[in-house]
Amino acid sequence: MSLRAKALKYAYDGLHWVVQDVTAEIRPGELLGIIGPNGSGKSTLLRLVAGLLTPASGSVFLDDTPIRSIPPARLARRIAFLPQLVQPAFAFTCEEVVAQGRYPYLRALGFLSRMDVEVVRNSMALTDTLEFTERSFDELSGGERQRVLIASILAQEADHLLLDEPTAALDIHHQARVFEHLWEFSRRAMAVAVVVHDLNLAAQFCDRLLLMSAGRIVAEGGAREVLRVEHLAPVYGGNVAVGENTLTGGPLVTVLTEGTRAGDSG
Amino acid sequence: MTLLTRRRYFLTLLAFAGFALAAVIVAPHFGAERINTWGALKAWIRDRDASRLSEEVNILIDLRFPRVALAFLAGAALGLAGAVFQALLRNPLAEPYTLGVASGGSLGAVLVLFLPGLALRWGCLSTVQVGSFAGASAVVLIIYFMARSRAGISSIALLLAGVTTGFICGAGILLVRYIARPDLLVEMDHWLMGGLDVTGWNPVWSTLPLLIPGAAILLAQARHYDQIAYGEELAAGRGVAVRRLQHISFFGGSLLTASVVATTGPIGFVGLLVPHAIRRLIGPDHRLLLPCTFFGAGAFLVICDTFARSISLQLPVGILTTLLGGPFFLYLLIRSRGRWGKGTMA
Repeated sequence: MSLRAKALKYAYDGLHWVVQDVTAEIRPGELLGIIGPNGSGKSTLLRLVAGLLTPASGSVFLDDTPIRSIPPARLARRIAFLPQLVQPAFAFTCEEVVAQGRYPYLRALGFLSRMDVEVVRNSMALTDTLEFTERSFDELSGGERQRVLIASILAQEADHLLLDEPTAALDIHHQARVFEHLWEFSRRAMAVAVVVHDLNLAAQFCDRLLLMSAGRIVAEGGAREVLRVEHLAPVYGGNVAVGENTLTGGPLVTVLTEGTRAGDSG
Repeated sequence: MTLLTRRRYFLTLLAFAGFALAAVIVAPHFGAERINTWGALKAWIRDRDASRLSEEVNILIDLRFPRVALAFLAGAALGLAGAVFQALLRNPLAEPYTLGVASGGSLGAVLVLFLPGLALRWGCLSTVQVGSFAGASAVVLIIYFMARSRAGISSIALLLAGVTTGFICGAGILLVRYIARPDLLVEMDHWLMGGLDVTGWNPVWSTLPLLIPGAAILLAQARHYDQIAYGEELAAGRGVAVRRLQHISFFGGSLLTASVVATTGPIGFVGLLVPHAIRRLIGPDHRLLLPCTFFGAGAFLVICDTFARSISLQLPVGILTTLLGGPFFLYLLIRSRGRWGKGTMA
């Protein structure tokens, strides 16, 4: 029950390595945060692990089987992937959106069995979206949509969830709510990996962090070990300060600009 | 809509098929001349010897029936192709006419028909169909590569490209018309603005060799288009063979478009109006949307053409559908407010 990336290398144009020599593992029962500046290869790594991109060298193993040798529909029952900012082209109801997560299990015309419907209901219950069942997905707010989409990948019943910036463009309340759900899933023995920009959100919820820079993993471990000035300063370029979050006891990362430093000394 | 059950699936399908059947049965009663349809039919069944048949029977059997049949097939094919193009390009404004595919197919047909030595015929399959398919496919390939380009093209830009391609193909047809023999001029007009004025059953049979495989290919993929509606990445993550689906869908869409425009020319906006209306009625689930669009769009064009025939004997139905669909296209475009602006195929 594990998903391992071994010595992955990838370049979109065959010239510039976006991911190089990355070896990592996504473990059941753990919420893994992938952090790093823009263009550091986080999303590409997630796509490689999901099997959506084929690495130039190296392999991804699911329970010691290379994922390239697993048929797509079977793989989709083990690994569920949610891209950034998904927007369906047509006005599906929320229930339809979640039910479409059952795709890898359905045959022929894809009518849902009683068991499939049960899974859809459960997935919606777990993300507090049952109240939207009959509503059109288009009518929901950004945060509500994101929870419905998370329900739809839950309905895939995969034991590995990979999410690319699920909290992008959400307010802080909905950001926290999405992460709470993801944390709960990891407690249900799922392996959850999430690309996240907000370092403090990552510190608050993730069990383990991977810090990426220029396609490589430069630090790995708990929030306290990874979110240190000596790791962050070279990666994010300069004025990063790490203090303590007095509410959670975890690290608190702040970027210092000219203004804030002047305020400090004054 | 609640989730699709077997019961709702078959009942809805039955309703649309019944509606289409009713339209096809009723339509031949109407037309420029008053005809005692039942009397003429009875006479035809009693005595099929053509030399002794009345003019009424000839109008019914050789003009109205084939025209209604062709209207149904053309509507069904263009509607189904439209619904599939909309799903693939994730854009509700896409259809064979706005994407220029219908015009490409028409140009192909016109080139084969009017350039010397190209028009060959074996039974109901002819090089006209082949030329039409080549033209439609060429436009589809242009659209496909533009949509796939890594720089990313907005779907509004894609439509602009489609409409422009349509203009270019229209100009190509005008060019052929300009150099063609004068006695062919009138005949060529319905490749500029689609029409269904046919005589006899051969034009109807000639659509089938491309139409049947095209429709079968697309209807068989119905369940996968719901996934594509979320974008390629989510679909691929769910196990959809995205590239393969795109290839066979564009192939099927070209077949369908070519099958009818080779005979009728481009009939605009059927593939836009009908899928949109049916989505409003039964929801966007493609498993139901595609077959219902097939029946619904067929019936829609039969009804439009019945109006066109009743107003004036030779009014090309494409004028009517464009007058209805064009403003609707603009309405959707204005209402979208750039919603589809950044949505590429990726």
